[in-house]
Amino acid sequence: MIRARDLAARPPVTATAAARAAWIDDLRGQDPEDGVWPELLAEQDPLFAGLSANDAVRLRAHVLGGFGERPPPGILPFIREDLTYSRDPRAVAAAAVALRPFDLPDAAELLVEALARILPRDDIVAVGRFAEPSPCCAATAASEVLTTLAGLGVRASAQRSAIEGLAAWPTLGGPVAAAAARALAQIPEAAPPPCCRQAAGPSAKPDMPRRSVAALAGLQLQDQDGAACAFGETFAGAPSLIGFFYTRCMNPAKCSLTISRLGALRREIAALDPGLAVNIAGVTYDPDYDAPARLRAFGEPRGFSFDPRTKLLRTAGAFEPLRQAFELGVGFGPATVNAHRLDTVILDGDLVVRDHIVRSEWDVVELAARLRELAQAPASAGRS
Amino acid sequence: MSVEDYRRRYEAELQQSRDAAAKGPARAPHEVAAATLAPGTAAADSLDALLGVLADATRSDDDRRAALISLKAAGFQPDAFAPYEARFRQVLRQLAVEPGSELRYDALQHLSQENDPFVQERLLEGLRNPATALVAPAAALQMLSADDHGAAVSAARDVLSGSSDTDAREAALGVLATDPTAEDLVAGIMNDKSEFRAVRQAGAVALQALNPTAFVSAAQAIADDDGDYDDIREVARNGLRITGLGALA
Repeated sequence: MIRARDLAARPPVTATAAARAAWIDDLRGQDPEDGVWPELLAEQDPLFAGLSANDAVRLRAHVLGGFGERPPPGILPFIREDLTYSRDPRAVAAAAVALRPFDLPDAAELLVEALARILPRDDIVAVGRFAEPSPCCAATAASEVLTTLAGLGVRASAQRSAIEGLAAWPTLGGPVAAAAARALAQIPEAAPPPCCRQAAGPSAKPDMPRRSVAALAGLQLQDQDGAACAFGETFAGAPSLIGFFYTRCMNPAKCSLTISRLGALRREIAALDPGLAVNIAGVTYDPDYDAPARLRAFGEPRGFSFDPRTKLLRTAGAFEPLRQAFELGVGFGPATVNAHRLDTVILDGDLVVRDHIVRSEWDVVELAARLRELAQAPASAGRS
Repeated sequence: MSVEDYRRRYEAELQQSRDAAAKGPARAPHEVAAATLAPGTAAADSLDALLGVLADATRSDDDRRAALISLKAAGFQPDAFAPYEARFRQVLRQLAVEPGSELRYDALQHLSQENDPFVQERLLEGLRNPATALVAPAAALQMLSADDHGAAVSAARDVLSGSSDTDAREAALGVLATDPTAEDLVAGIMNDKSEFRAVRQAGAVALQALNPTAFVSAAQAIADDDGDYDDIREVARNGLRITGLGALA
């Protein structure tokens, strides 16, 4: 059995996506331990380095969709994220298939949201195979989602009317219509007991101890006006919330929304206590492209009001020190980011990481209260 | 019924529905649009018919072009057109590879704007293997340049290092205009007096997009160089004037 720490070097950065998929297939045949797979699905894994965004999402879907009946539990956060945010039919189909063996309390809600998002973009898929699917293939992303919903049976009852509404859409035809009919036949109208419906809250990164990023203090940054500032000078002395983004992000539910929410967070904090010293910042993954003028042009229409404690920033040099220090889930292709998760970090005034929210949105009101609490805490309280 | 008739009927039905909606309770424009094109309505039936015409290889190119124009126009109401998008994309893919179709270019152009993976794969394959190319290399690169997430960066670099096709080299620089790691390559082409002049101009445009500061410095050097071509120096001066940053601005 191959253990995560013994995992062989990934294919070279020059390898095609198809060659990397073949490497994954070969690895599956060697019975690796479960811990290998979350590592290989991470956006920052070298498996995806140098690929275009299109190839990266295709390869990732190939990894996620190939587990059959025995998926490793560690892949659940990846499934959840793709069902929540992805607009790519290959990614959504793979996540829907990978979800089947799990018993997730909010599976039906996740799947129905994914179905609504993917129907306009529906496409023929062949989950588990890297080769381009033939037009005669019997599945689409929507049909895979519906098949997973059908398997939930009574656990999807609360979503039955939503499924009926979505099933009325004109679709790509046979596979979707058949899967919708099967789902509606297998999902009874009776509502499940209330105990089975649980909302999934934001996920703090587990097992992440409070740790200092004071080593970044000297890292040079530049703000939306071109002003230079060091990391320490920008963030030390008051609690800070940092969201990561890039202006070329293609998914409006990720970077665009992140910046809008950072703007809303600033307004919420101002409403709580206008004089509260809290830093709110968005830092771009793509510093070479996201010049100051681009940062400003991205923030303004999203309600991000710039002030000395509210900035969009880029690193003056490489982004890598930030990626390493915060263990960010971001990968890079030949021109820019090729995949990223949602990463939001809360620092205290001593540059210690107090929270790290990954693969999930956050609640503006909740985080405003959390930042106020940190800002009002005695200087030594709660520090590790 | 001709495509023109379908279009007229569709527009009339759309107007009728809008008028009816205007008399009813106040609704947001996107809600009105979604209701008028909802599956099962008369306007939606017309969209179904238009998709059928577009997919039908036995219809004339004029009919199919008219259907394509109407469907693209319907796409300007994204919420309302959403239920038809997936089928529209499948029909466009069919058109993109249909032998002899006059609409191939339109279909490729439309799909490449959406970073469609099916079309990207075929355009890239055509660049690797010209025998399978659906369009000329310059057109393929121009279409692939819509993806600023690296789909064609490697192909563009290959063209710049190995092809003397001026149009393709220009288009390759269009691709690299979104790749910050290509700044030195692009600046080198802009400054290379042995390069085709049209390609140098494309290099200037790309560098301006990548790094306006680096562009100003390179353009100033060209504008000051009496040994460079007059038209290139003029392009450099124009660039400096437009950016408002150069000494000659």
